[in-house]
Amino acid sequence: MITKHAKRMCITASIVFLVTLALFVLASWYLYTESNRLYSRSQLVANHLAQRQAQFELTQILDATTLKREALRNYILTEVGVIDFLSNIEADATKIGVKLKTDSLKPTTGKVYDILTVQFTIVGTKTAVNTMLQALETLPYQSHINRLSITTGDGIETVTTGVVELVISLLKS
Amino acid sequence: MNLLFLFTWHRQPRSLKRKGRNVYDSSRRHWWLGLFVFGVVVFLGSAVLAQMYFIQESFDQLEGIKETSVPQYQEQLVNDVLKLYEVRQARYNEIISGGAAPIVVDTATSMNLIATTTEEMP
Repeated sequence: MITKHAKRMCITASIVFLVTLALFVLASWYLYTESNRLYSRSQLVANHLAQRQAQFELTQILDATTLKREALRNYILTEVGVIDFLSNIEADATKIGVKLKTDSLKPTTGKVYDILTVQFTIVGTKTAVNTMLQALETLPYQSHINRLSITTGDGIETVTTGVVELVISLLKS
Repeated sequence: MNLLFLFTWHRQPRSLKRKGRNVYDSSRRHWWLGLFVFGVVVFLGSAVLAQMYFIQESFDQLEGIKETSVPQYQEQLVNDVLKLYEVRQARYNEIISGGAAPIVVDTATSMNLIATTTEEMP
């Protein structure tokens, strides 16, 4: 037999229990959402700090390598410097004793550098042409000889013709 | 422990309840019901707390995402390249000024060389 008192106690206990449970769930939910919010904000702060650290490191590298970058830049041609470069090559060819003619200039766009392909025709004695070729091979620029064709006769002093295709990297401006 | 017992008590025949067995069964049922609710609450609470604990733990391991990538400065490589170009410069100047020994080829020759094509130099 369930008495009235037992019924009342049961209802009261149930209400207390439900209220406590509701409060517990509410508190847990609140803590959970707040902790998630805190986590996302912490992630933002961490990203910001990482970004600042990266920028700081980059600035340090840039500052520390200024002189070396300047020095390296001297060995890479720019579009502006191409005319001077060709004039210098022609002047040097005259010094060596060959006749140098620029046949073609073909610029190509690259990812890091632009590429300039220059074709020269060198005419002179065999020795002079070889010296000129050696000079072109050791040009103090980021360059290499891509194609070479030499036509020569007998003897050291015969006229030799060399066609050279030189590939030069151009620093993007 | 058969938890189904908790939910099937009301189906017991009245005769059993009248004989007083229901008093024992009822108290036992309340006891198990209480334990069950307690277990559920403890389990849920533990799960929530555990999740919060792991979130808290992961705060220490938070690593920021860098949008700017810092290139690794290869100092030795740069020094080597600079040295190489300095040597080339010196050699070039030597050739132009006539100091370098010329290459003499005294045989009739005709050659055509094609270097490996490179789209872009490093």
